[in-house]
Amino acid sequence: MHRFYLYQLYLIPMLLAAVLSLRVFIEKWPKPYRIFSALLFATLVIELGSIFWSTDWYKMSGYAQTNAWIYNAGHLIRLALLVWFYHDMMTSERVKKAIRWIGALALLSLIGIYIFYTHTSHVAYFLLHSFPAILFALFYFRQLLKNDEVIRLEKDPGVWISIGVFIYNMANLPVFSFIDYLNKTNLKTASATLYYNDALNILSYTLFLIAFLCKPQPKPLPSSFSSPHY
Amino acid sequence: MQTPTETTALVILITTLLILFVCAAGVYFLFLYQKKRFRHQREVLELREAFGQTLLQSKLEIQEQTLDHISKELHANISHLVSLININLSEILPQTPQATRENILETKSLAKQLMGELKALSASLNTDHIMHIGFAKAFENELNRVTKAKKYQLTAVKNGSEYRLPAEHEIILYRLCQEVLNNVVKYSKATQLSATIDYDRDCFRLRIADNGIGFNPAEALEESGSRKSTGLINMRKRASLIHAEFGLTSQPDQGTTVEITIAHPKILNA
Repeated sequence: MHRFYLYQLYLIPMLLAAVLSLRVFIEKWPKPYRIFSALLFATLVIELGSIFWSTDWYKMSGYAQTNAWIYNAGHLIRLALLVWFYHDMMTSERVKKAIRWIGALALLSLIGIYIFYTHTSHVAYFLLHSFPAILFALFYFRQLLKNDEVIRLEKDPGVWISIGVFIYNMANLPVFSFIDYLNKTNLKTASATLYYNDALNILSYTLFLIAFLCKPQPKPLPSSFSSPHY
Repeated sequence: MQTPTETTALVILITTLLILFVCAAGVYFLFLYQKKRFRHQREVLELREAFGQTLLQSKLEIQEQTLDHISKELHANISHLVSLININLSEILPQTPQATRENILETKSLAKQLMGELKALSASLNTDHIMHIGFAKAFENELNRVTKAKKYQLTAVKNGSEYRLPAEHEIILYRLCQEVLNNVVKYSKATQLSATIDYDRDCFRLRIADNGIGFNPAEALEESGSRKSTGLINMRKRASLIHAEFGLTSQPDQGTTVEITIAHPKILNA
């Protein structure tokens, strides 16, 4: 039981981030942030759904206890929302087009894999979710560096979101790549990676929480009208 | 002896740690680089601002020199010519028949009036004169000049004990007031004009208000580009030169109020 609660610790920052993200609707933040808030809520629903499924709901439905099918479907939904978020965050048409193509390709592949491996955890799910996410975050950093308008990174929600997405997916990449192998050869190590994944989850959701504590920065005025507002 | 699985786990762990380290370093350098860019941009902005200020200051200096020159010309040459006209008229007056005498007297009176106007105009343009008499007196003269036509009902209030500001500040302040009063005469269609000066030692405050037709300041600022009119922007910039805050409140049909505030003014005389 103690172990169970320890695994669910990441739900606290996730819940806090999701609740705080509601301010994007109240304060009418730009559309991408509303999409990301929807992504947080979708993740929360997927997580809670999979927990309840494996503890209770599977008995009512008469299906197997494994909640892998929920997580697998979750990958699809989360990736679709992430593609939408980064697509709207970008200003360059070329990058938007690249995101559309990468996103479509990854989503179609995920659908294909979901048809064949609905109830099993498969490394392809993680890789098809992580690679585009890392690429999109890198696209965003590139946009920041190429932009003529210099913004304060620590005050930009997009930066914190992208750092969260980037670190979580990058740091999980080696573990996810070998998770199937570890599951087959060393179950103890494979189980131990769950703690590591939880730690990364806590880190990334804390970063999302910070993102929603910031506020999108307005465009700086021309220098003839006022001094810089930074 | 480690088993192959343990070795794999160790490799995964090391790779993960390495990636984490690389990610953290990448994020750190991103912040560092952006901080440098931010600092550089701020420096560029400051330089641009300083250049703008210098340019404005030079423009004002040239303007002051031109006004000074015009003032001296008005005083020395044109006033002199008007005086000559007056003397000539006085000389021909005794030989003039009775019928035209009245016309000559009228012309003499007009020449005298012109002389007075020229003197007042010359004084209001002369920088040395303004510096000599001080802002308060110069502003009072300007108000009298504007309200001479009896078009406006003037209310002038002075609060606190009067003090002098640095000469260049007084000149800029005076030119600002001239522009404000000029706008009142040109556009406001007002019947009442009020001017209040608060000589607070912590804050100098000047308020000019009229009950005219008013306008929408935001619209005026937006339209200033298309109409090539830079009055409002110029006034704001001039005010910034003396570290003054230029406030303008106006609404259609509700008059206009201009407030110039200098926080912690440099007071010359105690």
